[in-house]
Amino acid sequence: MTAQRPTPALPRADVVVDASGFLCPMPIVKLAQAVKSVAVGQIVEVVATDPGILADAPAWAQMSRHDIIGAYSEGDRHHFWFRKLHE
Amino acid sequence: MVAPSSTAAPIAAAEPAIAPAPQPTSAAEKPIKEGVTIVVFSGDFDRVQAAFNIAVGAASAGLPVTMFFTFWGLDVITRPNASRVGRDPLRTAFRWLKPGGASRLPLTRFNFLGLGPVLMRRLMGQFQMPTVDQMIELAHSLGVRFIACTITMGVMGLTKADLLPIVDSYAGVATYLADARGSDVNLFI
Repeated sequence: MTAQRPTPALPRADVVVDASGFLCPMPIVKLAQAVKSVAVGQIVEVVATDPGILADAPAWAQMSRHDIIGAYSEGDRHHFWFRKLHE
Repeated sequence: MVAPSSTAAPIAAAEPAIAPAPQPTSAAEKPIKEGVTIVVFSGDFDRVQAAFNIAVGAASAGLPVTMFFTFWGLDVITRPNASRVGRDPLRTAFRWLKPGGASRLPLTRFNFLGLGPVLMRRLMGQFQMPTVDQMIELAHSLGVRFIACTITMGVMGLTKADLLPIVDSYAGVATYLADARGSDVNLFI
């Protein structure tokens, strides 16, 4: 897309997980592995093309008690940012 | 993970038959009951795939997950090269007719004498979906507990040596019930 849209202020991730092309449950598995690898307070971004992520990312955050601090979709690429709240 | 509060004592087998009267607790004090138990009764490729999807998803969210393999589900955790000799001719025949192994599971529908699973695996490969063998490894690495039902193992002529080394314990219905009572998601697949 070439049209200039005001880009929302997106969080800066410490780790980016590209799960594009992967289907359920792999985006969540990859996200969980990345969150496990970072320190408390750090931010993990996951990119997924499986539309299931739109519902699964908030559900995963609720279950595992981490925060979603940002979400952004560009076509079929969905980005979510998570802050690790605990070990 | 936050350790469960002391009120959520594990159900000990040695407890007296008469359970202590339940203490009145406010909603906030209720013991946290959290976790997933899955009875894998089926040895069908598609059902097992669904069971592992749930197990791996839950384990990725930090939930404790236990999978109980019983009856045809034991095929999933049978070594591909397991012995086909049972302790009597009947069990030996059974082992030959149904050797088990995660890569040999049939489909619930569209099996077509084994052609269905081959096509399904190809399709799943195109979508980068893990196979059942890979799901077993993934689940194990995420801390999913594997329990094999000893009763059906005996019926089908399987010994511990015939099962994958990732099996955590060999148990019966009491172990399953104790686990299921402590979890809030309980499935029979």
